[in-house]
Amino acid sequence: MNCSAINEKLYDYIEGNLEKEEECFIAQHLKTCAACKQHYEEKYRMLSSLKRYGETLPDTTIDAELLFKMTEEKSVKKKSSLKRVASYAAVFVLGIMIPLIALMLGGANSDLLYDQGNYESMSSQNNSAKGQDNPREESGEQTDRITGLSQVYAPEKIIYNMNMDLQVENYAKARDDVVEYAVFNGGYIENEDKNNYSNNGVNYYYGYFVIRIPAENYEQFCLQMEDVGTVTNSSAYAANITQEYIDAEANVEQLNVQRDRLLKLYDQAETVSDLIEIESELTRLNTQIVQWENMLKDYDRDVAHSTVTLNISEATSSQLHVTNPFKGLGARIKLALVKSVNGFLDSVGFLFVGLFYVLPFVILAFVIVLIVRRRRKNKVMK
Amino acid sequence: MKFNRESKRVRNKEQFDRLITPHINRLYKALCAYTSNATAAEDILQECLISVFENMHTLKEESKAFAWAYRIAINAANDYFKRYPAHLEFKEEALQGGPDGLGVEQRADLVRTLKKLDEDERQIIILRDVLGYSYAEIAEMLKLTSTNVGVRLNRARERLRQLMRQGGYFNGGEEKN
Ligand SMILES: [Zn+2]
Repeated sequence: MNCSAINEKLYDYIEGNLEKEEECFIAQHLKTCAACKQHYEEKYRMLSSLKRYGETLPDTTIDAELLFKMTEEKSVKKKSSLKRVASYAAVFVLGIMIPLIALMLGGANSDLLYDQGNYESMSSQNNSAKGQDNPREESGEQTDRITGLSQVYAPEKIIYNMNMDLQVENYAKARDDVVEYAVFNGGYIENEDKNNYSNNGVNYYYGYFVIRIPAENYEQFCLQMEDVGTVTNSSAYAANITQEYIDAEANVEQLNVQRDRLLKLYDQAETVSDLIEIESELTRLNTQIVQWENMLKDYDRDVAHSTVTLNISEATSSQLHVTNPFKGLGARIKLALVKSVNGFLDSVGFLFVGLFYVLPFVILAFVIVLIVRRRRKNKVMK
Repeated sequence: MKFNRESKRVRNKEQFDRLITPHINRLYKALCAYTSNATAAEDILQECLISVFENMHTLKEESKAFAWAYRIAINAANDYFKRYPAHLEFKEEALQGGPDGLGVEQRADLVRTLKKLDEDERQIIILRDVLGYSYAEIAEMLKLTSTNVGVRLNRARERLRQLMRQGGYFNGGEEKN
């Protein structure tokens, strides 16, 4: 057996799958051949790491019995939710039909634009009329439809961040300016750190700021920093966390459904051991829900408040003269671009969803116009 | 109609208790290694068990129940990560080992390297080297022949060893055994 033949058998050798004779031969070879010995060691370490990893994998806490009790609940619930969907559908159809009938009665010769323009006010009139009968139910229905729309078109969740290096003449004055601008824009200083160093017997200060600015004033604030000092370096980035946000929301919702199911089980539980089991499961769910909800809160805060990191340093007199009017231009352009792209996406998305929302009305109105025209033609023919 | 449904449930339950319940923990460990995320593995296992239960009557050979459930679990995992790609991330705290396990860093290195393998390679390494299944068992789980298992396992191991070597896994402190 040569080295490559031995190499091919090393895994079997380590696992002890070989005949005694072959095993002895390889053991002898490994004592004398450094290359094979190195291969052997790598393979041995790899396999033993994998094995130890397997030995320390956690055990499950899932209880199949409890799980099936829960699914039985679920199959009962499915039916009732079907009923609920049907009733929503009925209300929705009515909500469309009534304004349409009103339209038909109101003016059969109306054109398409007229239909679209008036749908909004028509339906709200309609709602307020019905609202007198049963205000509570009706308002619930109305908000349902509004949130429905916002779910289809959820606004993008974007976290804006800016890093800026500022060179200033006087640190103390610059700091005051920064704080003033931050407060003016509704923001606050989250973190601050001040240091100094000396050069040719003169003391210079430099510092680091983390500033949170309401997202709507973020751009303005960044531009204002150019009044505080010379921007020598800047980088902006925007993190879109929409998907993560939606996932987190979905998780919370899913966990809440599980919790409701468990609470129902809790009421029906007959033995003490069932109660204890359900209770511990409930605790686990509650902890998870709190964790996800905290994460959502963090997301909300980060989306509402952009983060600006400032490095401010006092310039030595020789540095002061090399200011460049184009410095900071990059940041301005980047900012403008990010904002305008988002604005564009926003409006396209809204238009698109809006289009689908009015589509049924447009089609129906179109059919009506056709019918009316044909009738008139028939009249003329007669 | 209702009677039919109930009796099907009863029969499924009986089969489930006999064929699947003893293997739930093994399924979980496989999912943990496959997803490297203990919380996600728990969610996936739950979905998998419900699906196994509801499809119990479609199982043809009882002797292959575990291999069948394993495939359902892997499908459930892939499905889950399509829905929640964010959970693909390795959750270190979820895989803390016991006292005789690997060091935390070494374990993180190992998990990261495993993730670089293709799905097929990762599965076979996990089944053989992490969980210690026999070639015959693996052949059934992955629907391969035993010879095929050997060939693929060898290829996957060599690939993993290359990746570990590139990642400097073998450079760290020599451990004596
Ligand atoms: Zn050799």
